[in-house]
Amino acid sequence: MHAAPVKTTTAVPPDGGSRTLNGWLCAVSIIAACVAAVLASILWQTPYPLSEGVALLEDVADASSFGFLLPLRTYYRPLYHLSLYTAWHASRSPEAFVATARLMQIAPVAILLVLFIVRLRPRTVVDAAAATLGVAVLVGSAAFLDNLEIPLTYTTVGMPLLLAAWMLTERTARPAGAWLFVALAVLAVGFKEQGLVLLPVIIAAWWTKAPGVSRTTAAWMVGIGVAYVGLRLSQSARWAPFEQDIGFGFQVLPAAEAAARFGRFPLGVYAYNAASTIANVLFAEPTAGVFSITRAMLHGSAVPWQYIYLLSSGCLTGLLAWWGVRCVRRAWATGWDAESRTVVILAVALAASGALSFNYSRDRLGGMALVPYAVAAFYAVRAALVALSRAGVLRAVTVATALLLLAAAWQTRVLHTFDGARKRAADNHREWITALYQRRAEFAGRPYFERLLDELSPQGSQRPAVTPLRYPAWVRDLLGPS
Amino acid sequence: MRKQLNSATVTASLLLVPAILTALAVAALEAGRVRTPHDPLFAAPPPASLAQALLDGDVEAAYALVRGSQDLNATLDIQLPGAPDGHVSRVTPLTIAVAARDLNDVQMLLSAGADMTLPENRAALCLARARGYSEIVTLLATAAAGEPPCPAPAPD
Repeated sequence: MHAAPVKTTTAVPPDGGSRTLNGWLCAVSIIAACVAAVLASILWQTPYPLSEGVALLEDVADASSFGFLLPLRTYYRPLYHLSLYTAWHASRSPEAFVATARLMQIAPVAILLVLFIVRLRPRTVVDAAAATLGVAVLVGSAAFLDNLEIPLTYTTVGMPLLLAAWMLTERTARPAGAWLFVALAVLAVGFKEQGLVLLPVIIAAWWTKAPGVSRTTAAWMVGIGVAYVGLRLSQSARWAPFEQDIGFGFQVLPAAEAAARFGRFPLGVYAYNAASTIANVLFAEPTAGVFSITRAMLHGSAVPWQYIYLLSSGCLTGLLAWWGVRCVRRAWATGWDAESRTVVILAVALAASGALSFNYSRDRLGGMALVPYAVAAFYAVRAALVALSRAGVLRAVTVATALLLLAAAWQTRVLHTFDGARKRAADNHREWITALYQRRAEFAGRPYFERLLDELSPQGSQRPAVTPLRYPAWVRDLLGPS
Repeated sequence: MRKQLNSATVTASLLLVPAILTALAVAALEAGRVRTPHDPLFAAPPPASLAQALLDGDVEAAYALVRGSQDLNATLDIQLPGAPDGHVSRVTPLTIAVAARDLNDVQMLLSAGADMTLPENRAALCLARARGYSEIVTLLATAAAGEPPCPAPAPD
């Protein structure tokens, strides 16, 4: 009989331990609540956009038409369109609809943050410090900001659904029935195909012996995935090789040019797009497939925020790698636990998000993988703090300083998320007051579109109270583009 | 053991500081914006006139003035960018926007109802053509339903 190896991290059961409210949970919750409240305030004052917003409404404006339920297009979001349809036709006025659209973006973000705090459940000052950095990673990542776009709530809905499903897999009390996982998966996929990430995450949880998921549930996930992918691929003959412009190296290729260059054998570019999305989550580079920060550095024109993004993401990913190796070694020796399962779930979520973005890479497509990335950040920072307690003085000071700089860097990214949301509000307003004339000309003869422009232009033409803050130039250089 | 616990605890306590400061900062900024919306941190000083807003490229401020009482087809006395010192022209806001080469301002004025049948506004198209602002020319020509003949430039 061998002695159980000493755990090198403070492994806390995911929902075990005391269920009573504790001070550190309250403290982290208050900090997150501040962030959530201000974000909600900005989103609440954001005008409904002209460009994509009105086009989406045109799809659902005809009350008698439910064509959006059929998988005839390259994108298929039946539940999203259904939610938009319901919001539009149930609203008594355009103002009521805009308010509903804003709530449809605010609510999932709030639920995500609540679930995130509950998932981490900090109990000590070490937990609290790691949790606040986890929140900063979640809110400060480019994938989060890129998904904060009214009314494009697709992935914003998928992210809390993934987290909820993941938390259910860790339940030690009576496991949830397969029907609940199926419902969450259908919801996530119905809003956007990025929701498919939920399926391999649940399967991976089962494979690593998560207590709350059964073989039946895993089988259901496989079945749903196979059926859905089969349904979509049955329509794929009509798809263009590239639906949107793609980033490639240091340049952007229009879709037509990309098709001309790579259409015969697009698999290489598909792999590049997938890798770009994964790398964006892990290293903040490339963005939409373009190595813009690297290009700026090569040209000697990089500004401080670009270094902050690259270093904060790179260092955090390095920390995750250190933590991940330790976790996996521990898992091989003593079996999987919630912390070590996070490593596998992160890897699976990254791979799935990358695979689903094969056609083009955008920051927002990493949103589903961002959730386990932020949870992993919590565990990694917590492990680093615990390891710190056994280090010598010089090493302890060095690591402590590095962690402090890492935390500060991620908090500046949180500030940029706020400014990015404000900028989007200002951009939406600007678009209404500048592009309305051309849109009317361009879409003349489309009665639903013209009617929507008439009904929504008053709210878009009103100047929003939120605009980007007029920081001094040196602050803008630190925070990021606005 | 106490020493080991303290280094982790001290570091963790320090790690909370950036998070607390950020939460306080965003809350304070939002509260400040609500209480003093015209503070320079939140809003640029209002332009002195519609002409100034257009020359500054502040399309939002220009639009606010147009939505107010400013007649966007009325002529204004102004020295246009590129004009000799002291040379004041009587032009419409659309012409000012063209002279400033601001596509956003031009689009905004058209969206707000700039009347391209007026000779003063058609002069904006001529100005854009003379200066080679092709994007603006295309936009104004579409709005004018064609490109009207422009007067020959005056001899120096």
